[in-house]
Amino acid sequence: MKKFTMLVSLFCVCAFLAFGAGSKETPQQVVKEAGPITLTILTTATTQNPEGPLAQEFFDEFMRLNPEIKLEVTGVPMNQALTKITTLAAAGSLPDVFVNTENIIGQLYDMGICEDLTPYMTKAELENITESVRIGSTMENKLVLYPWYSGPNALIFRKDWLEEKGISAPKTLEEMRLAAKALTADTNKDSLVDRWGFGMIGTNDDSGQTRFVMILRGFGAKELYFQDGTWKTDIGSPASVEAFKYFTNLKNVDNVVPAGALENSFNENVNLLAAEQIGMLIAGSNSVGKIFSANPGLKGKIGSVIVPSGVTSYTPSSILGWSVNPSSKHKEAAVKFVKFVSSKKNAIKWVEVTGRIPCTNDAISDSEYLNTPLFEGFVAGFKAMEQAPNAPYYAEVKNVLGRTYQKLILNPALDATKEVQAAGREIQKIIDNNK
Amino acid sequence: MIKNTTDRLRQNSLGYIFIFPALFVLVAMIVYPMLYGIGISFFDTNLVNKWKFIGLKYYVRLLTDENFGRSIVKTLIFTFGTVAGRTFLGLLFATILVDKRIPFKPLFRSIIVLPWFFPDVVIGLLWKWLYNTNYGLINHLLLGLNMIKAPVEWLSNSSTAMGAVILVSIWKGFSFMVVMLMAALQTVSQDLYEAAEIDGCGRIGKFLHVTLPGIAPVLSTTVMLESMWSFKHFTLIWNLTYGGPVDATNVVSIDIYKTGFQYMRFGESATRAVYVFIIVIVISLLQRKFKNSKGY
Repeated sequence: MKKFTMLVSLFCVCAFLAFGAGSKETPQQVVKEAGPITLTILTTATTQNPEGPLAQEFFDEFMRLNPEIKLEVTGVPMNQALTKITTLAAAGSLPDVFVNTENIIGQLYDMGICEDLTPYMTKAELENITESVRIGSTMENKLVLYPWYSGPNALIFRKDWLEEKGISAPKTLEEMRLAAKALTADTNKDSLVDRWGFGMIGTNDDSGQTRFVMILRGFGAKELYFQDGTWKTDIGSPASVEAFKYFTNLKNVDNVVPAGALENSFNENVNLLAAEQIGMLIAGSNSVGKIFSANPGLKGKIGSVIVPSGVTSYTPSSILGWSVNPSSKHKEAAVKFVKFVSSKKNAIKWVEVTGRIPCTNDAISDSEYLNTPLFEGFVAGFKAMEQAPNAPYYAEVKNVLGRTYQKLILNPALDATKEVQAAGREIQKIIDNNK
Repeated sequence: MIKNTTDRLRQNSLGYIFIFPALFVLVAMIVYPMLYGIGISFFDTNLVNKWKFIGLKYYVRLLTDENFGRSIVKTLIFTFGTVAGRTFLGLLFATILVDKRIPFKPLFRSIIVLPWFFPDVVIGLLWKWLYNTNYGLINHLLLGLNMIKAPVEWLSNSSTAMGAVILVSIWKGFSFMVVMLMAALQTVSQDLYEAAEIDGCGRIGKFLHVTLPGIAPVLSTTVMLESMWSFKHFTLIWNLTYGGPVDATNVVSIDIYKTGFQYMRFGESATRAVYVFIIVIVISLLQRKFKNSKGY
């Protein structure tokens, strides 16, 4: 009996390994299509507000204009996009069109799941994509991400509060620190600070890490860069130590950051700004839509300026768009869809509702909304965007940075130089492990 | 001999047909994923187009990986804290609720099992709000009672984060212990308590010499189950702290998730999972050995 059971089990395992694991060629790829096309879409837009309803409006309009194409849309939150796409790709169930961003483009391209879209585009269409975005969407001369919108970071500030203090918008990191000190106050005179100069996103996630990298690079130190055929890091250098000290001192020495800095994520900081509890925040242009949606009374009181510089300034590339599954049977329809969503008319409408910046030259120049003083910093940041390192282990490197700034914030007595040098060694180990 | 086997197979064929669906589901849902997981631990893979065989490289590397060692220690702390807390509260409430003199017992029982019914994600978000430094209810109450002078950063301070997470985990799961122990307590004969009383046992004596031996088989099984579940627990911790601050709550399940789905090193992630599997098996064997030695 035991032997028989084992034999049956073994048979099942073999059968699964043979057929289950090999079932990546979906029936969709074998069976010829008949009738109207069903295009499967994976997007983050429908899970967000105020993006969701407008995105749905675009999808409905596309189906109305193209009755032969039916869209089957699945929503995924941004922080789960990579997990979802990887799982679907591994299972051979990748949709025809899926979300892609500058953060995950390298990993998805390495998996071979992004169609080169260059052949589907005219020269004029390609040239219409803003240069920095086009570079960020291209891997090995292949346009593998069709850009939809960009959300470059800038320093958002309370214009009215700075004017009250007679301070102009900070251009350098030192000016930003001093402005934050000036804005921090006990407004109701109960001996407790209730207004903070700077909203720190100190969480050890991509949101917090990316903002820290802007400050780090402002000090002239790079967390990861490619030089002479190899990846290198500046973490551990005196400039990087100064960057860590500057960032952690905002909380520990200058006291310009509200309590709970290590747990306050992007959304919590946006809420604090909308609740008039913080005066400045490094955030993407999309936060403007969220702030006004939470507190319409702030319209006209908010300004933006490019992320302040130290010895240099750095705004990482921020692009969200679409990739087309190379195994899709409906590539033409897929490209038609992504072009429609990113069209000038839709892009202009999109920025007005969500604050997210279009990626094409014609939409940017024709959008009156983008040319208001509110967007000054974001547009400047958009033009200065630089591509972040596309090493597949970049997320791990950023995690080391996040852990280090959290450690220094929690333990002000620690020797910052030693901790940053230890982080540098850890990053070097990651680089070596991946050689 | 061959004829014998063939006869037996023919005789039992109907039985084999009946067990086949269950066996098939078991193999499909448990054996295959497990073998697949063990299989990919020998590869450097992104699960799609990169399958580089690296043998035992990850197994060897992890043996000297300090971060992995630290995450195992964090897991043991979390597991011990959770199981000890749940056992203590479970015993306490079960003992109270089996007492015939307590009124409204069904109502209390229903209230106590409520946290168990909620999904971990909901509990995580709820407690994240309660713990929030700026607008959380806990800080608000403590400040109102003048017990603290400034808001406490419960989840973003490495000295309080693990305790805060363990507390939520205990709150979420102690009701299972209550239900199990109440059932066990009801099986302990009243005669034994009377005999113990005649022998001069007080309340504590009766608990130690009658109640505990009476519920020991159920208690040890429940503790084993709770230990294994807690060792692999992910959702609550992820929702509350994402393994932070720094690595204060970076238990091994979070380590596995990050390695696989954030750093895309599925092979190494699977290796970590295999190590966890081995540890859980060892815990289970030790518990079984303990049970056997006590004759449960």
